Amino acid sequence: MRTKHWLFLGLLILFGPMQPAIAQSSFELGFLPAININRKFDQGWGLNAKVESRALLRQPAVDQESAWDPDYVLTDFILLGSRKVGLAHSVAAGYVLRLRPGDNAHRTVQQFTAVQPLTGVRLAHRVSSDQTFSEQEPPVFRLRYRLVAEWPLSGQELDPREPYLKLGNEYLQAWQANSTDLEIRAIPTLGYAFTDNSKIELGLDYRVNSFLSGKTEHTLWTALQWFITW
Amino acid sequence: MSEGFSHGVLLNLMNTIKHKIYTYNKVVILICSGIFLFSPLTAQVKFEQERRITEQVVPDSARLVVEAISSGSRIKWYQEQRLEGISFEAKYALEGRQYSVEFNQQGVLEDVEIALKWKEVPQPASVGMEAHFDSTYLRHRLRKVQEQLSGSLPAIQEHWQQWSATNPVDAGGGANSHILVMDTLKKVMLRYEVVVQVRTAEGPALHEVLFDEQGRMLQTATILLRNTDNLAY
Repeated sequence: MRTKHWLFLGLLILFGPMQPAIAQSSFELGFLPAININRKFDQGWGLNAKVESRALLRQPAVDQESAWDPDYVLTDFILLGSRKVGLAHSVAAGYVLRLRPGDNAHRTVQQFTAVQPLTGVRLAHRVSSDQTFSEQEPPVFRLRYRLVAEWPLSGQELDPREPYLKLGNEYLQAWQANSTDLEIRAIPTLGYAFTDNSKIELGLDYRVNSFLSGKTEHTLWTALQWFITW
Repeated sequence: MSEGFSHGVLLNLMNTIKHKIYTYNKVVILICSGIFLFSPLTAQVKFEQERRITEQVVPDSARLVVEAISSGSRIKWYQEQRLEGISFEAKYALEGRQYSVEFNQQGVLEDVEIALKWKEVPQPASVGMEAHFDSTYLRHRLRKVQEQLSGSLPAIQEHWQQWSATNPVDAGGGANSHILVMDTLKKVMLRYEVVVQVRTAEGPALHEVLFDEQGRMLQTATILLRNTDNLAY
């Protein structure tokens, strides 16, 4: 399949689900821009700094007109320290400062990532846990597993100035006070590698949660992320 | 067909490597051209960049060769940028095996690579390879094994037909019990290319090691892994 066919398929994935999603009132629609900066040090140590914002474009409402109500949600400032523990495996831990109107939150994060560089595809398994604390809500404890697959769209390996397709699937189990919740995410993304150390990705981040309690909530984010390593 | 590393080709390769310095967004890849020839334990860095191409841009001579030997299999063509220059590579699967046929920029056949399982590597070679891995690395794990054949196309085909008849796919048998076909080796140059994940005193690494038909190490290159930050975070 040629590159242009993959790009068309990618655009279909990006924008296809939006129309039916918009028609249903339980859907939230938003924009998720982020910049992800990484620094490598000797002995396999590294630092990851990320700033990610959220802005809702559409929220659940009684009528379609009032549903479209752009609103700023929050900004996360993330700092993780990492260490390579194998050829392509790493552990990381760090802190997240969540700034949101009315109530900021603090989160601690721990994660282990294993990357499998196969022929024609790279798979990444990420297992993580996080603990979120804020003044107005009980602490939230989460366990997460994410599987990401990356396919170069030209050649068998991703080279500079080439596009790629990335598909992710994540499961998040949360515990807060006496309640639990399971969130499932699907993350289809089209990316472009300017160089091996500079990549930009545009895609969807579809999240569904609270379906165990019968009040299913859907959120569809358009995610734009820039990864820089120096 | 040349033995692959004739004096003229070798001199050309050294000069090419000496005079090509690649600057890539402030990352400079320097390869010491002659060192690996005289110091086999020094690993050079493997530089290879490929992109998928259509068969229309492939030299006719190369395209016709692959069409003749691939027996109708679906062929994927790639253009590779290496230190030595540009090459064309055709990849296809046939009867349970992965084949890779490489041509230079003019469409002249360079080599044929056939993916093998470790147990299909004949014993003289496998014993030599294992001895090299055990003596060089703290730990190792094989990732990929390929047989690399250089020579005229008829000689390569004859060698492979004899080998396949003697060592069919899924024939079973013990490890490394496969037979090395010696007669046709006089007309083709046989090498084994092994990608191995290793652990040395400096830490983990991915190496591509080239061996001759007796399992003697010829060349080692370190494969640089692509950035994984967009997968981890």
